[in-house]
Amino acid sequence: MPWHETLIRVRFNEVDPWGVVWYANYFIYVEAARCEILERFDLLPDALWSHGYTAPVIRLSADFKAPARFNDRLTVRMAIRPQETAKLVFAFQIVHHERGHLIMQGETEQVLLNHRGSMIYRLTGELADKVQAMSDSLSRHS
Amino acid sequence: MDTLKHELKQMIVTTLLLEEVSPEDIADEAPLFGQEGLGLDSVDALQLVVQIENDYGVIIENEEVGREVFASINHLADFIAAKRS
Repeated sequence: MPWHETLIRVRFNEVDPWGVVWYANYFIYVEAARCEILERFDLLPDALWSHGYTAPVIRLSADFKAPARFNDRLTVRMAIRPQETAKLVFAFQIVHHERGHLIMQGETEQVLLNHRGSMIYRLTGELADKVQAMSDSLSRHS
Repeated sequence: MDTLKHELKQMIVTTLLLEEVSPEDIADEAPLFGQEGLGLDSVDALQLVVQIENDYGVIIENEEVGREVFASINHLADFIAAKRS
């Protein structure tokens, strides 16, 4: 199953005094990629809200393998890890666009809350169909 | 009912990979969540809900129901027994 790919260019204000991308800024790139996927399946935050839910991130993992620098072009690859429970787990890799080496990789895990702030244990209805379509299209086990 | 309670304790320990808790350590009436009891959290509940559905065919829809059901082993066993009958 192919990754969803998003092209990013590192901006001047994203690098630290050592000239490399500050570690937490990579998650801005990951978020841009995630939003592209969510838009494709009509699951952007406002659509999710209209279904009655929010989806906070409850876990994040990341390994940093090599630095990215100002004006580098980066490819953010994103996929979904299939889940038995009502969670959304996105796997991501950021690679250097021209040279291809791995810069960082990780996962985010989200749960679904209703508007009363209670966690949903099972997805149902139209939301379940959309999440299933997204998962079928982008599932990746390894 | 005692068999069901024992099964549930075993299932909790196995599903959540609890290393420092054995099924015998879990009292029937002790709260499963929060510091006064077993100390489970809402994400643990998500795992247990899937296992309970697989094992007993009983569905727990959301946290609002779960708060009652996971109050203790006694509550969980009563809920499953009632739904199955």
